[in-house]
Amino acid sequence: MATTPMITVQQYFEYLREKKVMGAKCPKCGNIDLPPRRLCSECLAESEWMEFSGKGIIQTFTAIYVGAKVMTKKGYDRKHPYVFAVVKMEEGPSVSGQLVGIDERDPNTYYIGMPVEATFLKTEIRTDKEGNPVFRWDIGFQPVST
Amino acid sequence: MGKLNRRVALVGAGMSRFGVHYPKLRSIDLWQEAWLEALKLTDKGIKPQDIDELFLGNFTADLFNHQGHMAPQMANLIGLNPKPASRFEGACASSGIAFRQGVMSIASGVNDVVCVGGVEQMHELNTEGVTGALAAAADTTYEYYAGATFPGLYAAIANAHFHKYGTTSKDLMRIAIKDYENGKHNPFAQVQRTIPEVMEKYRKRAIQKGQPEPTWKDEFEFLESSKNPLIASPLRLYDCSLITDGAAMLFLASEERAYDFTDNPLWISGIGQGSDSLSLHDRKDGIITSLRATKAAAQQAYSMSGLSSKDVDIVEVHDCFTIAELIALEDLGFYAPGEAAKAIERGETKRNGKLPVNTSGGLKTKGHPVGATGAGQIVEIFKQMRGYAEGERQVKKPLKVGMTHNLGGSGATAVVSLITKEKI
Ligand SMILES: [Zn+2]
Repeated sequence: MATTPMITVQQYFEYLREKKVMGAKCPKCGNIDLPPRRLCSECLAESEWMEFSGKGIIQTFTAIYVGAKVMTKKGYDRKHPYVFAVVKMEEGPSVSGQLVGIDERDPNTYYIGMPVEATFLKTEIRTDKEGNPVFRWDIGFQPVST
Repeated sequence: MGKLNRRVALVGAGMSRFGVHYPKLRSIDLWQEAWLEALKLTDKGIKPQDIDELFLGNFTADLFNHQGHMAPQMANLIGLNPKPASRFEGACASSGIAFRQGVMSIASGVNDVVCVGGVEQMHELNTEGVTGALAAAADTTYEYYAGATFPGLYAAIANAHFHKYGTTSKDLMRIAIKDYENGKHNPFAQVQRTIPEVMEKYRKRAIQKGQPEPTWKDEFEFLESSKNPLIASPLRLYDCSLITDGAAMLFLASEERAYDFTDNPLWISGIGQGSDSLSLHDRKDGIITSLRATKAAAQQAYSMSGLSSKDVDIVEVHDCFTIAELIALEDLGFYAPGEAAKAIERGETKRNGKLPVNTSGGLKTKGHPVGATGAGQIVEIFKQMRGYAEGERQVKKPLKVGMTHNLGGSGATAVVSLITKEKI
């Protein structure tokens, strides 16, 4: 039987690469954390992995016109803003992510309280020795598919 | 616990002009200018031999200027070597933290006289570079790759506040209009122009160029126009603080030594500091319309001094964005949650209102050299309480209690100080 991997940032990212939203649940007090942490944010007991449904609602958002370099590299600019959102997951905790699948320039297409689901977004962070791109995977959100 | 074991006096304060100085003036030059300005307002003078230690605030000369290890360098420029000199980092609250450490060092009896300062030279990088360096004060692991920027994080806070309390962009515009009006009267401010004056400048330029004359009927129409572009919705250009080069310096002394420097010392009667998660999404119970670090810092300062928000005559709050000024007024206890906007509309926070807020012009017009900002706020309160505020900026009512509120990042650090005319 494979041993359960330790809760680390890197393992969280590995799960995102596998398109799984893995948070943490405290066996002692039942508190749930996302992003996961080894030490429960309520009682500091050692938490265990817990898979999330990926569903949540927009807690707050903003359309960013003067963007972070990581986003301007992807082609976003003053004419094409991207949307940064904080999403409250149905399991309780909130997490930050880019909101995609909406019309960023039409503020009627996204709002506080809007139901969304996780999607997995990749960013090239560097190239390896052979010149192949190395990606990082992050959680993002899109409107719930009907 | 929660008390200063000895009284601590503020005996002198001054700042360089905040502005776009690089390459004409760099940190080294701005720091020396701050010394000269602080000396001018230290009635009986002060010498390096009088000073026991330097507490320096600087966010990230490492990223802005490829310069670490700044405290001994700055100490050298004002003749303090080989005395202890340390740098404190708490993003935009760096010199607020340095100030608290300096106060505690005197209260504890380790020091009798200290210099507290802040310096930041940001214009060596272009706007994209500055934005990138500032982003290091947010959560790089989980927020940055989601696209967070500083305006973006405060914009997210603003949208949550709008949703919960019905606050509007017009409420935020009133804050910008007021702060620009104050900055006009501050000769040390980066921008010394009111919003109507900015509008007039655009009108004249259009006429000169033979373009159609703009027809804004008032400041609000101008602030909704393309001349005030969205940075991160709902925040626009004039909601945001500036990129600034600047330095500020303060001299603190024990009660025994204070009168060697002035007959009219001010007293640090309360001080507090709070912390919170770097990331917005990790805030306790999902509350982002209020900053817990500010509340914790204010509670400590109030309890240390025995004062309450009702006693405060003037306050400099950390208005890195208009929404931050509004929320600070609620978190510091001046107004109930959701009520500050109405008080601002009534004019209570204007220079000669019930509670003058950011008479310096705030971070939006005086400027925001991040590591120097906290010390710069104390310079303004010092000038106001001692009657040294230049021209029209001087508040007319008597000022017995002044407050400063300095934030780091999206509210992960907060420092609140209460400065009084009388010993408490
Ligand atoms: Zn627990």
